[in-house]
Amino acid sequence: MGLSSRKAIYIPFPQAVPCSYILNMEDCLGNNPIACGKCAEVCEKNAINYDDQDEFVIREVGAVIVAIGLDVYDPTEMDEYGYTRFENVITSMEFERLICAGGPTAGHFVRPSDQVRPTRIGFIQCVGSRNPSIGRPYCSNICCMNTIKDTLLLADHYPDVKNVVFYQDIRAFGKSFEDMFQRSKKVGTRYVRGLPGDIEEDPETQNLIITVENTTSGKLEHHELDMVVLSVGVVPPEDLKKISGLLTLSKTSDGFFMESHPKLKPIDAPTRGVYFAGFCEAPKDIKDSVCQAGAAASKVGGLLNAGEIHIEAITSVIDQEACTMCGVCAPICPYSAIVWEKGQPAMVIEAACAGCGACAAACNFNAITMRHFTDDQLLAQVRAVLAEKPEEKVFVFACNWCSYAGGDMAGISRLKYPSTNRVIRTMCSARVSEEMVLEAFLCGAPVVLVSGCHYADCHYINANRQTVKHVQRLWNKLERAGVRPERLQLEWISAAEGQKFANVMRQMEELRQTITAEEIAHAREALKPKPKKEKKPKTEKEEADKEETPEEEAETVTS
Amino acid sequence: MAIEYFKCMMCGHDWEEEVEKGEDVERSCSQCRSNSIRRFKSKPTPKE
Repeated sequence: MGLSSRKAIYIPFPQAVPCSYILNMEDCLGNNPIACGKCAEVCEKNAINYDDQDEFVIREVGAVIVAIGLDVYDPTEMDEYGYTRFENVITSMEFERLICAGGPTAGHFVRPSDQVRPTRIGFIQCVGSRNPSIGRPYCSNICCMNTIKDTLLLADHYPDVKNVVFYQDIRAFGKSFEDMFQRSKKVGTRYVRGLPGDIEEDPETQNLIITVENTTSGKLEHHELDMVVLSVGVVPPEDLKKISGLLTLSKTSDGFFMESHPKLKPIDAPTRGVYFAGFCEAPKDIKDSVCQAGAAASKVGGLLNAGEIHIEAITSVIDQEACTMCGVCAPICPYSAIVWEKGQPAMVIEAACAGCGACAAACNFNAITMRHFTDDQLLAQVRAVLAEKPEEKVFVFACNWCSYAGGDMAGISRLKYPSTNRVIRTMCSARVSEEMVLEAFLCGAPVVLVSGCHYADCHYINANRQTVKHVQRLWNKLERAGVRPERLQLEWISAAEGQKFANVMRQMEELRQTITAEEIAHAREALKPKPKKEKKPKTEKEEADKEETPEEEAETVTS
Repeated sequence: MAIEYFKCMMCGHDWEEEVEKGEDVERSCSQCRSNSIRRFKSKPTPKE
């Protein structure tokens, strides 16, 4: 803000951790050529080394806690608030510096344009938060309480200051937060429900004029203020993408890291041995960040002191002899648990495998077996279920975590739905191979439903995207064989969606009743496997091309 | 961005949409809410 200067060696701020000095090499004279060197002379510990350079340090670790923090939203793009045009429009971070005893004015609160103490201050909430038009639909969680704290601070230091807060909702849900909000109102802070559309400046006084619709009273209000503080939201840190690539972590639609499970495993990353603490997982306040950091540290302690690591019983195993070294499975694994090099059979890192089975479904050569959910076991279930009166059954593949639990929820909730469905459980919907679906049709199933978690809920990062690819290919295949592709359905049902599960089952039953005996017989004939020719192993590139353009097949079929 | 074509395999509703390369979107039919959405790169010709 240009209010004061600082030396080339400084502590970033009084509460910095570690509380040590930083040399700003751009301003330091003591580097090259040596012209000053005074700090090195007085440092008794000889801690100053002008020649020190950035370096890469390689460490072998057993666990990683990702706590890369946050970035603050830059309000430059929201020109209506005039942050770049008016000196007296500042952000909440700049406000903190101005009012801080260690700040540029030693805690004397002045406005930047004329260094005079302001007496009328406006706070605008949700700048860069809860605003889908700028790609920030989420609540930043901390801004409401930060503003309330600021109004109390101002009222305490300067009782004559009049504060006005422009807001859309005040979210004061933490312990004692509501009390703080009420205290803020008691000390005279005015809360106006409505966000200003524009800010203008009086060129003479440099006061700011805000026009806002008070949505509580329905009236247009004009406020002349000495200073406006933009309560800026938070954004995912810049380094997040880099770290995400390094540790194979996925992100939510908001751009923060996705946890293993939002309720049951909020500290764990989907990649084992990686934990989150703080903002990088989602916006949260200091208390929640400290709680999460403590939990992450405990988890790491537990992991490293256990002596042995328990791995999932349900993992994939690759038959080294049957593997054709095509490499199709490796990029499919959401956990990067499959190691493959050209000319070498693929190998599963069991400690990293989470057991979705997407690789087993994708392997064209049956070289991958998923323990406890093998092809033989699942196909045997398909045949057994459809052994008698298959034409009266709706065949359902449901994933363990969401859809199957959704079925349970429908049952617990005593919801009525047709009793014709027969559900087979797989760990992930991506485990359902094309062979299994075709087997169900061959056994006479009139309708087959593949069901999994919603995109955002996938328990195996993003394995259910493979399900979509399988189903797309199957629709093409069915159409080519003259079978109505509508007989294969796909649904995302979460564990809480018992109602949806019941509705879908009703829809499936309605669909089943439209399938004629002739259609079932035709499918059994048309989908019969043709005598196998000697298969040439596909290269990874060929398979990848196929993965990317499943629709092209449809093009040729349909056009 | 490219135009792609979608058809609901439950109710038959079809539509076209601008699709970004590499997008990761859960689709559902605007008419029946089904997730059985088939995707085509070119407009599918209706069956006789």
